[in-house]
Amino acid sequence: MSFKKIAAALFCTLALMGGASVSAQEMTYEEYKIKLAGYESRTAEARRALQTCKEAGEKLRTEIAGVESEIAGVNTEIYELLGSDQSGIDGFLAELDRIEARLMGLLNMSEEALFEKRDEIDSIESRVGEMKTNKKALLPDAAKKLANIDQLLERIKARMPRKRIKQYTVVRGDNLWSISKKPSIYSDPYLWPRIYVENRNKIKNPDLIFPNWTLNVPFGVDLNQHLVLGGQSLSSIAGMVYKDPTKWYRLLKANQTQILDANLIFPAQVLDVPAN
Amino acid sequence: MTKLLKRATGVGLAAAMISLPLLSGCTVMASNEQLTMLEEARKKAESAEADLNACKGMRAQLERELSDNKALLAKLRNDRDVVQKALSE
Repeated sequence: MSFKKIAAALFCTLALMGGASVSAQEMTYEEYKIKLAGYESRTAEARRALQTCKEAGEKLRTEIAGVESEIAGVNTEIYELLGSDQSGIDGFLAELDRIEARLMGLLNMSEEALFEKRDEIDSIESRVGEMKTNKKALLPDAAKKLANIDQLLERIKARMPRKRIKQYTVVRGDNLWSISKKPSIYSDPYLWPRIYVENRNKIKNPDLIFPNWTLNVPFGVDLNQHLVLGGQSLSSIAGMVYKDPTKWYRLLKANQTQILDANLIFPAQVLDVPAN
Repeated sequence: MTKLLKRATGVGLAAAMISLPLLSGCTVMASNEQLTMLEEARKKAESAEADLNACKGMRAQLERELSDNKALLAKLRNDRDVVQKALSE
């Protein structure tokens, strides 16, 4: 046998051995034992940790139940103090949220648009005043919202002109009563004296106005003034502006030049309202 | 001399050819059954670790819930105290 032939035979043997060992088994027994031990160790470790985790979870659940029970107890105390329940409190806070959102919207309006919304703003202010007397207003959340609403109202009122004058051109058939009755004016014929007083330089006789005259029609009143509407009395106005009807004498004293009898005030009168 | 060297080399190579299979036969390989067991052990370990991770997630959630509840309780106690104080004034 030549050297070359022997070398070729040895190479083939080695190649066959290597190929056989790869295809038959990928792991030695020793490697198998090490890997198995590793997996078993990981399993045991994970199971121990899982047990600890479950115990901790149970402990947390118990603690949560205890805190929930305390929450329910404190809530009950609050409901008793306020004479309400959760839905009542939620409703109160939701109304404050709605008012806050509306005021934010109003704050972004032009001065003219704000003036047109003055009745709504007055109504909101009145409603906020009512809500402040509610026990629920004592809750810190509500108090915070109310404080914010007060600020918004102040900012809106600071921007909003209290009084505006619009021009109206008289047409044939008009009189002060019919002008005042128009929806675009006051929607109230009894307020005709406002137009008369505002245009005294032009109107000498309230029963006599002429076509093509341009009249100044006042809307709103200045701060610290009140426009008397039909059915109002000094005490009812004092109830509105001071929240105390017995303070009517303040209004009388501040408006002595135009009120001769405390029981006799007229629609369209503009009264001065001294600070409370 | 050259002839002698060739013979010695031939004998050496033949010996290697015979001894190599014998030597490799000494390494014990894992059986298919053992490999199956190993695969099962791996799955068990991964399953246990997955259970552990799920438990850890749940525990974190419970911890958050407890923390939130404690904060709510503190707020409610403060609310109650504020209301009580205002009503007593």
